[in-house]
Order: sequence, then structure tokens, then C-alpha cells
Amino acid sequence: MTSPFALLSLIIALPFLGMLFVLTAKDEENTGKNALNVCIFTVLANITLIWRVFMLIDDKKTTLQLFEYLKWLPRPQIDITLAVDVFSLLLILAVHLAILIGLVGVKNNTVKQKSQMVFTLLFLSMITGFFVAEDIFSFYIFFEAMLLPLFMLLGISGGIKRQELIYRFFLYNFFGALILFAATMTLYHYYGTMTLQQLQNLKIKDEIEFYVWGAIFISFLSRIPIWPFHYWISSINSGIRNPLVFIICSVMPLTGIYAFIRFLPSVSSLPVELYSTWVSIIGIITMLFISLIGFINKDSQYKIFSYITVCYILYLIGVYTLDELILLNIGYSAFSFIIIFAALEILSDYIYRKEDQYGSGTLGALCKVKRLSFAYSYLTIAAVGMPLSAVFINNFLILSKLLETNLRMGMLLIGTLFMVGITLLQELHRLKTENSSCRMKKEDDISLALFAFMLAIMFILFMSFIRPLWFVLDA
Amino acid sequence: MGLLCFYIWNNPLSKQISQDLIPWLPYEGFKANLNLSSSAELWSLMFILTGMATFVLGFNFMLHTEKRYSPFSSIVFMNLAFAILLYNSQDFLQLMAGSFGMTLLSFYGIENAQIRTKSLYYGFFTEMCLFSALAIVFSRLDNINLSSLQGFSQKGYHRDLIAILVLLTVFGKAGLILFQNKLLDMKKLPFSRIMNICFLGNIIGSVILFVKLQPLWQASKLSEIIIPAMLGLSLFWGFFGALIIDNIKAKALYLNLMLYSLVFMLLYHNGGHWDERVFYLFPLGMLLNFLLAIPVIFASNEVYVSEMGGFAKYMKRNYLLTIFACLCWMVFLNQIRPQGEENYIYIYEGLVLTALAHILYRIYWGKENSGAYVIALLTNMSTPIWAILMLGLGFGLWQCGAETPLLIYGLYGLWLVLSCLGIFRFLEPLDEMEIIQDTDFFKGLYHYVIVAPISLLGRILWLSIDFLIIERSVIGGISEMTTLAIRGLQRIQNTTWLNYLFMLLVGLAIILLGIGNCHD
Amino acid sequence: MFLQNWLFLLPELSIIGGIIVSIMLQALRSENTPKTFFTVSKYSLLVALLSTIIFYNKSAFPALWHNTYYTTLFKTVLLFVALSWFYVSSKWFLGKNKSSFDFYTLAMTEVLLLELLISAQHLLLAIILMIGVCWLTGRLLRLYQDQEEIAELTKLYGFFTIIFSLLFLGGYYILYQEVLSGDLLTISHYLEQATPHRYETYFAVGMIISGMLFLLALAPFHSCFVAIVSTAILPVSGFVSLVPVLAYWGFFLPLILKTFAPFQSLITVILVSFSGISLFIGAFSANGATNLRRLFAYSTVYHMGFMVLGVLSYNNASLLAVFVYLLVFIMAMFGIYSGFMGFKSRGEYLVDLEDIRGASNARPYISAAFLVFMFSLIGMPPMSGFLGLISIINNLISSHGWLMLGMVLLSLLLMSNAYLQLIRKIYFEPQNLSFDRTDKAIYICLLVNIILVATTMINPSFLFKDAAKVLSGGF
Repeated sequence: MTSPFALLSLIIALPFLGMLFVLTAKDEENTGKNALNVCIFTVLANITLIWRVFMLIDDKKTTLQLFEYLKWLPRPQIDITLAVDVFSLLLILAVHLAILIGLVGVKNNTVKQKSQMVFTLLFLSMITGFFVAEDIFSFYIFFEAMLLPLFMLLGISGGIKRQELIYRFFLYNFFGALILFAATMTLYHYYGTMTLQQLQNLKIKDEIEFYVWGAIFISFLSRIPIWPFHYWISSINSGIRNPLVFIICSVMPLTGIYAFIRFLPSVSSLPVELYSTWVSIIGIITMLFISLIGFINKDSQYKIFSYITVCYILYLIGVYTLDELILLNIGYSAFSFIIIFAALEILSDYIYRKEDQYGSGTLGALCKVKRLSFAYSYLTIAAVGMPLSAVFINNFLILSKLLETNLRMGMLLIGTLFMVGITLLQELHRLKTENSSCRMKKEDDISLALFAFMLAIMFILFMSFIRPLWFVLDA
Repeated sequence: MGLLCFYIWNNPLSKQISQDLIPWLPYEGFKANLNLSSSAELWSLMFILTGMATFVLGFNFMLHTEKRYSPFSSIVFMNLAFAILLYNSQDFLQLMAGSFGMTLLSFYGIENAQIRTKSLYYGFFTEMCLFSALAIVFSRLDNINLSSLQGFSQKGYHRDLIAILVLLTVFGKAGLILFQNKLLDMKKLPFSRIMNICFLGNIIGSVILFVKLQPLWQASKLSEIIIPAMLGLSLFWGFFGALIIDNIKAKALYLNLMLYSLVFMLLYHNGGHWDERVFYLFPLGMLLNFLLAIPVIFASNEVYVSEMGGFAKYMKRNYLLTIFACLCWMVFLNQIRPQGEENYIYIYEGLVLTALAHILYRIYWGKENSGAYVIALLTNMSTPIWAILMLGLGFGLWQCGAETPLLIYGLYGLWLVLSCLGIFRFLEPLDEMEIIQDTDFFKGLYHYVIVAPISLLGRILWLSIDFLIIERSVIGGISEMTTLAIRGLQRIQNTTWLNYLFMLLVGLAIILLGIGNCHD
Repeated sequence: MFLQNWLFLLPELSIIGGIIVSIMLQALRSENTPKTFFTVSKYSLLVALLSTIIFYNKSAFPALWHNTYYTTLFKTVLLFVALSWFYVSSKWFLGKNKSSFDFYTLAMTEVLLLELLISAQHLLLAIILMIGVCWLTGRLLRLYQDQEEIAELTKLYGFFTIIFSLLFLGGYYILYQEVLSGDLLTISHYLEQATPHRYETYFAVGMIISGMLFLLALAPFHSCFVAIVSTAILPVSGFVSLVPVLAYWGFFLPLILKTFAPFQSLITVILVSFSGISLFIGAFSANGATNLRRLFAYSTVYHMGFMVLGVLSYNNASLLAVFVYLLVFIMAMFGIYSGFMGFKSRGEYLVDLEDIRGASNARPYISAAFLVFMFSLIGMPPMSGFLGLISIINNLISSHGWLMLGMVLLSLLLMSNAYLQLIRKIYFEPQNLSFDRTDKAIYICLLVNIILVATTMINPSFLFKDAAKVLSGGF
């Protein structure tokens, strides 16, 4: 089914156009308020479009729909294909919502707000393109292109003290992108331009199969904070003092997971089996490391990072169960998961800033602030996998499948999930411990507007638990 | 209440009607629906629970123990709703959702923020155990219906592991030994909250889970060791706690602990199936809590037994109610009618009465330890309420009294004498011993056996592998080498004749080598 | 016929005319401003450009220089770039209030020689032209410099020019002894047929190639180029970086793909070695550079090394690959040098990295342009540099250059790090100096450049299809 009105191109282009608007938006008081408003408006407009796209597709089908074609380069011959399915649309929507949450979190920032909005919209455009790309070249283009705005956001607004970490982070991701480029060009050389669906059914020549798959695996793994590269990635994530930037940074591993799913071959081969085994092993090691370190680390940002990483790796391991039900559920779960950590991050940042203002620690910060306390508690409980969001169902499915494959590995994974859950609960406990030195007062509670926004988020999460595609109306 | 009335109206006792209310997850092999049905057992359970809920609310209303009345009431009723949901579970998801719902309500039922979040740890742990057990089962059966559990247990996959997980869930939720701190933390809450959580909250959930998941724990031979051991330990731990601990709320909680062990023992001996007698134990437990609440409420919220004593003089009506209630308790308990070799019921009764005798002695007959101002403020329950309660108990006694053997009355008399004599007076010095009163041995155990090793492991991994090996050695090494290379190149690219000539020669050498190579 | 030949010489004649007019104006008119000589050169170059296009396949002296589609394409681009750079340079002279006579005269002369070089059909003529260009570059280097300070450099440059001129002439002499003709076509036919070749022939080819490598600034023959670019005044620096390289490549490609085609094995060995060294020296040295122009000089060395790899498949695809990369490179470097014109403080053009700290605050649009061009140079999509990267990598893979591919990716990472350091200075660090007002012309140039970059990326078919047709038409 082809897309009417080039809708997919439109949802990629709209944030880009928004970015141009932001660039030209007047900012007399130098507060960046105009830029923020334009950004929020753009994101909301795009969410509306995405919702419309949801109603155009058949949500019962798992195949790609709404194809768009574009002839791009004649030599080498490269044609761009765009398409979506329920899974990719869910991720696009989740990222949009997460960024919207992030924007709410930075609305009081005035420093370099305009550049932040510019690069946020650019990132949004690129990542949307990534999720709708259906051929190997456009996939690669967007895979790499999103690094630029990410790097700029980290450097300009991230607030990271050790700048060399940002370069390492960028270079590491860039390296992964280059490896993918080499693999893409190799595939192109031997088989010409192809869609991702064709690639899934392709039997690659024996002499290059190991290298091509190896390159693909390495490049996608570079997006995920996998051991032994997790150290500086974790240093960056835990060092970020801007919630929007943290959210965007935390969305990056999703691109790796998504890429693995899209490139999953329908016909298993020896290299794929070998590499996927290694991925699972490294994934489990990473989960152990991160969960243990998150447990002992006192930094709340690190705790959230460890939670995010462990969940992502669980999804990654779930991908290689090669079960269609699980793959679909990863989409449903990721939708909730992304919203949860985005909301948790902005609340965490709110607490941190308030306490910074008072010059005291965050122990017992939630004692007197009921609205904030409620929202934070809900999100923490949903995050640890309790039946308040779709994360719960998905974790159940993935873990069941993994337990079926290997009981010990499954129990180990449950152990790590338990550990990160305890880590988050530790933080909640710490924030709720009554403490005389806590200076946050009732007046420091989140505003009613923000609370209403949080309630809306919680509503979305809860509804996603009840019915994953509750917002899709029959066209 | 509306939902309950709907069920009472719709479903006569003997009929079993199932209604799929909301179709939920539509996937092949993973269809889950929200089911509601009714049965005689559910009717009995709901009757008892509603009665208890009414009592708790009435207790709160009459005696003004709770400041935030409406939120508390809503929690009480939601407990009933989740109990229905949990009871009606036909599949894993509804079971887990219902169980979690009850955990969450217990969480919100606790007003103290610190205790609340601590309870979350326990709740999370138990839910994860349940989750893991059901995940393993689903992985083998590929079916989420509870009816398939029988078939699973016959196949015997991972029976020991699953049994342990299920028992951890059940006993953790209930707050039995090893998890009793979850229960005892509530000594900081008012009695209304204690009664709500202890009799309408997680214990109901854990009992339902115990029955629903019976095929899973029964399949393993380990259960035959673990269950009696756990329950026995809980019973005796509860007894010693009720006897020794100074805090009256803690004593009430220890008595609840003993009750739970009895409940589970009954169910266990019934092969994990529903035993109607269990439903009647909860009101009895609640009655004991109420009896211990009376001196607290009417003695200006004094919670330490060591600060009480000789209250019988000043609270005659209360005392009379208490001892009458104890008689009723014995009579009602006798209705349980132990079958066969259920001697543990007698053991339980004996231990509870022993503890109760000591407690009542300390409160009403012992040496007067409270200050003059406390004595001055001691009051009795208002006459109307007292009268209603006495009449209610009297009515119950009259109903059951005929079937009660005289031995019970005789034993009651003996107990009454013992409660006045105070044969456990020698235990009073233990009130001053901090090591017994305040030390939490289990917390230390958890810390040194579980938390500390994990923290140490985390630190080692972070410092040695992450920081020293990866960051400093590998990455640092690469970084240093790059810097060295850059510096080296900078040196050989200075604007000096030597450097320029060197470059020239290198280039020409390459060309010459190329020529030599190709010409050969 | 005679008149016809003069007509076909119009491009060259208009440039000569422009030079003569400039000399006359300098000698006879006292009220000359910096703009005067720019105006003269502007018109002469415009006429040259138009006439080049009109007489695209007409040659006055075909034995000496022969115009084809291929040469017209290169010449057009060269004239266009030269014209644009002259325009930008005029701002420098205006700002400094210095006479531009020397610069424009010498530069126009160099443009003339380069033009002739592209179409040169006789090897000796080409060599003489190249020597002439070198000499003119040496003169340009000395413009407005402290002669004592650059004495050493001038000597070094002079020495190396002599060395390589001797190598050129020596090579020619040996070849002439064998072929008895200097005509490139004759040489080509002879070398095709006369196999096996003698040692002397190999030497001759090697000597000529070495001269070309010096002119192309490939490491290890790059030192002079780097020194000139980092020492000369900005107009000269930009001119030397942007203009001659087009002509050198225009001449170099047919030389090795056609004339010296039988020596593919020797050329491959040389080019691969020089390319590898250029990639690494360029990337490493750029990382250590604290001078802006030195950084981009090394960057040029790097990109030249990259371009050389595109030649290695020795077919029409090589031509297209190199041309596309070259074009993209020139567009980006032009933008960079235009940006340099915008970074001025207290009348002085900034050359140090430390001086441009926080430039994004004062010059956001120029900084944004820098960002675009630098990421284009890395080859990051969606910038046009990606097109160049695709072309070269595609060729590399076609020729199974896996080792080179690995080296390329590694060196690209290093080069990116150097650019990232610059981006850091511009964007992430606080402002150091106050910046002078920037001429509007700079913004116009940058805007046009960015539009070209954007258009190329969005619809590259006009570049690829049309250029491919022209280039494959042969030389």
C-alpha cells in the first residue's frame, strides 16, 4: 500500500522545517521562549500526523505498509524506500512523546535554548527518518545523520564536565556507523540496492558473510552501552545535567535494538548464530555489570541509566528469540519504557535542581511534596516492571522465552532486573526518608499544570497496559 | 459495595457463572481476559471480608484513630475489589495484576513514608518471585491459563525451583518468618491501618495465591519440609515476640503472625484447597487486635506495656469487654473443630492464650508504671459502643455456646486466673534490654549475607575491571599512543631543512621501491 | 581560420587582457582601490567562463591544448571557484586597505596557466605550466609578508620546486628519448604497444608522477603546501587551497588513466602508499594543529589522499568518483575559507584555535556554516560530502581494496576528531575575544554555498548523471 500525500516524508520533514523556523524565530529577551514554543508546536503537530498514519495502516498486520519510493542517485544506483509498520510507528510516537516530555522539563532553561531546540528538532527528524527507512542506504544515512545533533546537544547543553568523553562517545558511535557503511557498500557492490525486507531473505555469499554480518553486529552494538564500552557511555549519561539531552541520549540505544530487528535474517546462518550467541553473552555480562554498579552508585542519574541499559539489553536478547509475538511486544513495551524513563528523568532533574537551589542533598526530598511524590512513585513502580504499564507484559514474555531456552541464563536476567528494580526503589526510599535537613517545602511541589501533564503520561502508560493500541481509532 | 451487591443480586450461592468483562490481550497462545465469576467460597470470603471492612471503618469512625478518613475508606474497599479480582483469576496475568494491586494498596495503606517504601522492597521481591515462577511455567506450557497448572506439575519441570519461588511469594506477602519485618514495621501505624493491612490486605492475597498455585508448590517434595518449618518457626517466633516485646502494637502484630501460620497450616493440611474454617480465623485475629487496641486508645496512645499496669482499676468496662471477648474468642476458635491430627490448632490456641495472659496481666493487673497524668486521662469506652460490642459478642457466644464443651469454659477460667496472677512476671526485666527490644537481627542478616557481598562485588567490578583495566589501561593506552603519534609527527614536520629532506627522501624511496617491485 | 583560432582562444585572451589592463591601471592610474583590480579580474574571468562554455569543444592549437567536454567541465569549475574566491578576497583587501594589484595579477596569471594545464596535450608544455604555477605560488607567498620571517620558507619552497621541476623535466627527457614525442596521445600509444617496458621508462613515469604528487600535496611531499597555506595571507592561502588543485586533478586523471595506463601496477603501488601516508599524516597532524589554516591544510592532505583511492579502479567510475569528491571538497573548503573571512577581531584575521573560542555566540550563522562544511568533509550524511564518500568507497570495494578500506575508516575517525576539536572551540567553550563586524558578502557566499550543498544532497542526479556523461565522454 503506498502512502497518500507522502505522509512518511512529511513526518520526517516537519521537524526539519520546524528547525528552520526556530532558526529564524525572534528572541528579543534572549530567553529562548519562542524557540521552545515553536519546538513544542512542531512536535505536537508531528504527533498528530503520526496518529493519523496509525489510522491509515492495518494494525493487525505485522508487515510493512505505506510505501514511498524515491530515485536518488543514478550511479551508484541508489533508490530510497520508506515504509512503516505498527512496530516502527510505535517507536516513532514514543520518541516524540519522550522529547515532548523533555521539552516540558527544560521549559525554564534560558541558556542556549535556541540552539538546543534547533538540534533537538534536527535529531527528531533524523530519528524519524531512521525508523521509516526501508532500504539499506536510507537506513544508513539516518543511522549516521542523527549523530550530529546528538553531539552538538551533548556539547552545548549537556553540562558534561569531562569534554573528552563527548568525543569518545561520538567517535565510538561514528565508528559503528562507518562499519555499517562499509557493510552497506559491500552489499550494494554484490547485490545492488535493496530493501531491508530483501536483505532479511538474502543468502549472502560465504566468502563475505562473516565479515558483513560481523560489521553489522558491531555497528549496531556501538549504539548500545555494551560491555566493555559502557564505562564512558555511563560516565556521559550520568554526567548530563540537562533532562532533554539525557532523554535523547537514552533513546540512542533504541536505534541499535531496532536495527537488529530490521536486519534479522529470516534464514539463519552460521555467522548470525555465532554473533548472536556472542551478543547474548556480552549482553548478560553488561547487564550484570551495570546492575551491580547501579546498585552501589549513589548518583540518581546513574541509577536511571543502569535501569535503561538493562532494559535495552533485555530487549536485545529478546530479539534473538526470533519470536514474532515477542518482537511485537518489544514495540509495545518500548513505547511505555521510553515514556517512563523520560518522565522519571524530568522529575529527577526537578528534584535535583530544587535541592541545588537550597544547597542541600536530596535525602527525603519528597517528604512534603505530595504531587511530585505521587508522580515519582508511580513512575518508579511502573519502571520496575509492575503491572502499571506494558513493560510488565513484555518482560514476562521475553523472560519466559529466555527461560525456555536456558533456565540459568533466564534466572540471571531476572536477577539483574530485580537488581535494577531495587536500585530504583533505593532511590525512591532515599527520597522519601524523612529528614530534617531536607529543605524542600510544600511550595516547591510541581505546579498543577505539570502535575496534570504527569497524570496524562500516567494515563497513557496505564492505557497501554490495558490495551496496547488504545489510541488507534478505526479510520 | 456496588459491585458486591451486584454479585449478591446476580449470583445465588450455588450457581457458578463466568463472565468475560473485558477482552484484553488478543494474541494467539497469549489470550488474556478479565474474568469475573462467583462461587460459594467467594461468597463466604466476601461476606467475611465485608464484615471485617465494616468493622475497621466503624472502629475508625467511632474511635477517631484515623485523620484522613475518606482516603482510608477507599483503600479499605479497594482491597475488597482486588480480592475479587485476584480470586477470579483464570490466567497468569490477572493473577499477577490482582496480586500487585493488593501489594500496591498495602503500600498506600501505610501512612508513614519510610515504612511505605520499605514495604515496597518486600512487595517488589514477592511480585518478582511470582513473576519468575509463572514465567518459567509459561515457558514450558506456552499457556497462561491457571487450569493448565495441574498438567505442568505432572510433567515436573523445575519443580523445586518453582515451589521455592511460589512459597517465597506467599510467605513474603503474608509476612511470615524471614519477612516478618514487613509486618512488624507497621507498629508505627494506627491500629485501624494495622487491621486493614493485616486482615484485608496482603494476607488475603497470599492465601488466594497459596490456593491458586497449589499444583506448583505441591509438586515438590521440598514443600513438605519448608512449609511446616516456616510455619512452625513463625508460630514460635510470634509467640516469643508477643511475650517479650514491650510495644503493644508489635505484640498485636506478633499475634497476627501466629494467626497466619495457623491459616496456612490449615490450608496445607487440606491439600492446598479452600478450607472454610480459614475464613473465620481472620475475624478472630482482628478481635485480638481490637482488644490490644483498647488500652492504647484509652490510655492516651501509650504503646509500651512497661508504661502500663494496674489499668483494671480505672478501665473496668474495657477490662470486662476484654476478658469477655477472650472467652468468645476461645469459643469461636473451638468452632473450627480440628479434624484428625490437627493438633497444631491446640498448640496455637495454647500459645496465644499464654501470651495474651501475660499481656493482659501487664496492662490491667501489673505494677502501675504509668505517670499520674496518664492515669488521670485513662477512660473507658463509651457506654453505647461498649454495650453494642458486648451484645454482639454475647449473641455470638449464645449461637456457638451450645456446641462448646464445658472443658473450654474450664480452660477459660484457668486462663483468667493465670492472667491475673502474672506467672511470666520474670520476663519484665527484658523490657529494658535494647538488644531484645530494638535489634533487628534479620536486617543484619540480610545486610551481611546479601547486600554487602553484592555491594562489594559491584565495587570490585567497577574499580578493577571498568576503571583500572578498561578505562585506564586500554582506553588510556590508546589515547596516550595517539598523543605520542601526534607529537612525533609534529616534530618531524617542522619547517627545517632536515625534516623537509627527510620527507622528500621517504617519498622518493617509496617510488623507487615501487619501480623495483613492478619491474621485477 | 586564423580568426577562428583567436576566437577559440577567447578564454585565455580575456584573462591575458585582464592582466594587461590591471598592469596598465596600476601604472597609469593613482586612485586605484582594492576593488579596482577585483573588478578587472571579475570581468575577465566572467568572459573567460562564458567563452569556455561556448567554445567547449573548440581548440585553437589542438596539438598543444585540446578542449573537450572533460576539460570544459574542469575549467568551468576552476573559473567559477576562482571568480568566487576573488570576490571573497576583495573583502580582505578592502578591510586591510591594501593594494590588491599583486594578488589579482599573479592569481590571474596562475589561473591562466592552470586553465592551459587542464587542456594541455603536450607533456613539456604541461610541465612548463606547472613549474610556472609553482613559481607564481612562490611569489604569492611573499605578498604582504615580513620577508625576513618567510625567507627560510621561501628558500625551502624554492628548493623543492627546483627538485621537482628537475624530476619533471628529467622524466620528460627520458620519455622523449624513447618516444621521440612530447604529445600525450603519442606517448600513450607508444607505451601501450612497447612492452615489456624498460627500467628507464619506469623511472620516467615515476619521476613525473612524483612531481604530480608534490603538486597535489600528497604526503610525504606535503610539507611545502602546508607551510604555504599556513603562512601566506588569507586570500593567497584560500587561493592555493582551492584553485590549483582542480587543475592538477584535471590533468592528473587522464595522465594516469590514459597516458600511463600500462603502468597501472607501478602507479597503484605508489598511489596506495602515498594515499595511506597522506591519510594518516593528514589525520594525525590535523589533530595536533593549533593554527586554523594549518589544520585545514592537513585536512587537504588527508582529502587528497582519500581522492587518490578513487582512482584505483581505473575506469570511468574512478573519474566520476574523484570528480564528485573533488567538487564536494572544494565546496566545503570554500565555505571554510569564507568562514575564516568572518572571524576577525580588532582588524586581525584570527588564525589560532584559541582565538575562535565561543565564536558561535558572536557569529552563529558562520559557525553553523562551519558545522555544515566540516561534517560534510567528514562525509556525514545528510551533507553532500557523503556523496563523495560513497563514490570513493564504492570504487574501493569494487577494486577489493579491503585493507585500504580499513585504513580509510580508521583515518576518517582520526580526522573527525580534529574537526570535533574545532567544533568544540567554536560551540562549547566560552567566548574569548570580541569579533569585528562581518561583511555581508561573506554571508551571501556562505548562503549560496550551503544552498549548493543542500541541493546537491537532495537531488544529486543532476551532478551524477550529467557529470558522469561528460566525464565518460572521455578526454
